[in-house]
Amino acid sequence: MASLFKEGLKSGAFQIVARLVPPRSANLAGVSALAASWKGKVNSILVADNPSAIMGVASLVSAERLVRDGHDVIMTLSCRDRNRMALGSTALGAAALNIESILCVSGDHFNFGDHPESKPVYDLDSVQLIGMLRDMQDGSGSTANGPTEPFSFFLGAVARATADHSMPHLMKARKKISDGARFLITLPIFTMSELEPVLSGLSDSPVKILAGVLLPSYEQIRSYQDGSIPGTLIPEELVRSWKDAGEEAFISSSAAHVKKLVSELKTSGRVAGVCVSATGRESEIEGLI
Amino acid sequence: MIVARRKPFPEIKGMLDPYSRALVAGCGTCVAVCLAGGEKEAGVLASQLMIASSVDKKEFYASAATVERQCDREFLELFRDRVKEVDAVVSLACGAGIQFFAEMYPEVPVLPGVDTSFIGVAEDAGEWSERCRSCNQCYLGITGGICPVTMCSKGLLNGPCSGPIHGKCEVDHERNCAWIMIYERLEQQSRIGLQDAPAPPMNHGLRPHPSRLVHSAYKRRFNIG
Ligand code: SF4
Ligand code: SF4
Repeated sequence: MASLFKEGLKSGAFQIVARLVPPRSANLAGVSALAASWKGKVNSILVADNPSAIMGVASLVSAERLVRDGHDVIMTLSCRDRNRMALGSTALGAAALNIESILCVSGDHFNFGDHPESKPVYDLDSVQLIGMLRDMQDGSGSTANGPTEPFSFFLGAVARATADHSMPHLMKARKKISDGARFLITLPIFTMSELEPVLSGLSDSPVKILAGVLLPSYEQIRSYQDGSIPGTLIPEELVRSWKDAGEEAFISSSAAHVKKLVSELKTSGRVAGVCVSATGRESEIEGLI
Repeated sequence: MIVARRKPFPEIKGMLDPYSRALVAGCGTCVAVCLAGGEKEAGVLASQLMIASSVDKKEFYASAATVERQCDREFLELFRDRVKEVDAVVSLACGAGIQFFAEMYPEVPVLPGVDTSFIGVAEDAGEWSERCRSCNQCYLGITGGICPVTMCSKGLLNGPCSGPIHGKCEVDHERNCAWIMIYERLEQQSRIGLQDAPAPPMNHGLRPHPSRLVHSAYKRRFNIG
């Protein structure tokens, strides 16, 4: 089954992706229900892989449930928890289950999560993971015997937007593209202008860029300082106004802010789509798009 | 050099509980420089143990001796007479030295008096930091002399993760992101082109454990001569 997300990007239609964080319990009923509420409103669902190094149901298992429920999915695959052997076999499992789109990430460090004493793996980095999966498709890489039946991956990666030391991040994004990334999803941005470095820096590349947006939780904002949310910088004035607002006002003003940003992104014609995350507020996503 | 830290006194004392005569064996090289296990530290530990045993009214005797290196049989040989007099040894060498000691004197328990931390440098008086994880395939030639394996908390070989904030590592906001430093160093030297091509995955086949290195020319000469 070809990835609808891939076809959608190819057609040039603005893609709406919602990010889903698998539960920390052995029950996928909530995942099914949440995804069902997005049906018809999003093009694809990005299934996170133990984000912020907090242990939950495996991304492959959650993604498979969503495929069975009839959704298009993008599976996240993180280098933090697996060596190349486990990364490759997880990806082969995804291909066997008709999951074609894979978002390759290094992974937030264990320091952020609920198992800080874990051994960080990082046998491959995200560039090398993309390269390995690309090579696996035609059997030229680590699956030395070659695939008996052809399969394909639609590979993507994360890109850091923002002006904060943009050059090293662009250097890495270019390596991801040269090793086979066909789409990039940016870390959350809060204003259109934050996209400038990545859009202009990669304007000569055919890669499809989706803007990441985040509807933060009140807790994230209350305790926010630069660096408290991995890879995410929220503009100072916005943090201040959200912190000052109090919970109720924050909930509505943050939703209004993200909704406006999504519609600006949609009409700007500058990005191929948007990926919406909403920590603990996933049920609000359908109202934002 | 190899950097180590002295184990906490109660832990060492606990390991020595079953014994009554101990040798505290210092090492005069790396651990001496980082003030964990040189001659001075060996003497101090032996005295501490004596004082503690007299407080506990335990019959116990500890003495100290230090050699230039414990990672060399030639120097470890110098302990032979002292080892005969004791029923336990606390070695203050790095983990390699402690094991070599234990290998040479299998008749006596050899206990670790330090925790071996890393291969590093002296940053400042009393301050050391890690620099190399001995990957056996040095990348420094393409990374501006900054080790991505060690200085990046994730050991990434192709550029920064998405996490650094204002140039600091996502794992430790006090420390500069290795990859931002690498980028800036290479750019300063007009060598950023070295990073155009993706670096292939590390070859872990080159770092089996335990590793071994044979310098065949030297070996030949030594064996003949
Ligand atoms: S790349 Fe780093 S870990 Fe490897 S040998 Fe060089 S300094 Fe050591
Ligand atoms: S912030 Fe920089 S040093 Fe820290 S883990 Fe990421 S790339 Fe490595």
